[in-house]
Amino acid sequence: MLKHHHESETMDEHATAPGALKDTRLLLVEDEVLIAMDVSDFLEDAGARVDHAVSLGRALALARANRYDGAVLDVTLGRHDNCVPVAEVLHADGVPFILHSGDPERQGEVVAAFTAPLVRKPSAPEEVIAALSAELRKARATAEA
Amino acid sequence: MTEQKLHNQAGRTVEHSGDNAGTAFPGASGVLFEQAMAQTRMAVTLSDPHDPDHPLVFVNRAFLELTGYDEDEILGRNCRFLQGPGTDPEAVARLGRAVRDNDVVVVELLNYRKNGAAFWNAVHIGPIYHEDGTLRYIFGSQWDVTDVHAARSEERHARLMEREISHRMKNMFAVISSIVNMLGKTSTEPALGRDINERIRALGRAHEATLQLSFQQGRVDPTQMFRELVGPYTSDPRALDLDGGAVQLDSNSVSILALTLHELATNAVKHGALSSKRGRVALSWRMCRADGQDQPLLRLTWTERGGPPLHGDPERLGAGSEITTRMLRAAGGVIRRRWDTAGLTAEIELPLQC
Repeated sequence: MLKHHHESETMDEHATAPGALKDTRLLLVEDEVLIAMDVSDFLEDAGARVDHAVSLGRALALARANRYDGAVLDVTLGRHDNCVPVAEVLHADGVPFILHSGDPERQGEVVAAFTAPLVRKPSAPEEVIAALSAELRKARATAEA
Repeated sequence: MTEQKLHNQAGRTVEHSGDNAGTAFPGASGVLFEQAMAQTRMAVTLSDPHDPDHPLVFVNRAFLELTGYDEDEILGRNCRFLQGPGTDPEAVARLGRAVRDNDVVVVELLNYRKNGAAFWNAVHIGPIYHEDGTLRYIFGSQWDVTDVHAARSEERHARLMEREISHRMKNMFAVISSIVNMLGKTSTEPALGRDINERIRALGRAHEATLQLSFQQGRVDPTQMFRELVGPYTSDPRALDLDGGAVQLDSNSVSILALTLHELATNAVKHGALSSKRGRVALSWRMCRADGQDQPLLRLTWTERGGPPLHGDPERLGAGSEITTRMLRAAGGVIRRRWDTAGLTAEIELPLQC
């Protein structure tokens, strides 16, 4: 089963409070520019610094060159690519990420290969922030343990 | 030699050599074989496994009709003359391996008639043995499955298109959401963007849930759509009780139901049953006919229980509820809300296209 984040989970006060992503450095991979602008905006409003890539090539270059605290990955990239290569780089570096996709059914196998949570598009900003914050908290707890 | 006799076109009375005498089925005489082969619509061939090129030694009438060749054009030749530019070499190789290993195999491959027309051929081949166990013929049957192939590829295409449309639709909703978010932030009423977006997402979920359903083919089950619409407002799946049968839907009704249920659900989260852990919502529906009317009517009942006790009607309806009331009225329907102490009951009637 895919993990779905619904509005109800946005009641999580920790996650949706302003500054929930304070001082984090995030990678956003999203090929739809308008969605990218919006997601980038609200992640920054939540306190993050965001690098944005619209293509797989750019995403890979950014992921290899920088050390991110977390990432939001659109699953389908352009007509032929998907986020798997960049997810593998992030996974190898222990960077937590969430998947943000409009067609989880079509990308079922790709998505299922990762344990990362999936936020279905169209999504509320709070859903994305809540899911990502939870992953960041989990990663921090793992690192401290 | 039997082979020589079998060369004669099926349907002609052929003298039989008696090779079949003593087989388990005493009726399997040569005459019977010839007549059966002449009658069947299944194209049948026999080829000689002892000749290195495996030439055809018998073909029946159905085979000649299927391929468009005359008997004397093909007897003595290997049946590869049916292959052409679109024939998958891998499928041919599978046939070759089966012949080599005396296996039975069914392979679908693109073949060509004498006039050049391509057809999908389901070829079945297998060994036929002498009584002493030595190989006698390679049996082949051919069936034109072009129609089956077309149907399958149409179905695949339809599925692909459906996924593509679903993806594009969700992407479009997501892009609209993003624009509304960005404009909303710069406007004097930032909450407006959020209100609009919640409704866009409800519409998206409802249409997505009904994408696989064909509204042209009669009644469909709306349960999944209702679950997608109301489910996100509660983390407890038991909080939602859906009960109703198939209904006649169309795209417009889906939008109206999406906005109506969104309104009821968000209000239940703010003031009603879904604001409490033990709260429950029951949604039931059925098709009926209004008195003296031909047009079918969808009647839904939304019942909230287990929420905070209510103290009569609210002083005024929210803007969203007002819009819902007007929308249903404009559609020729109605929504009646009743605030009992135990919780809200809303009855919705929506005329449906038939």
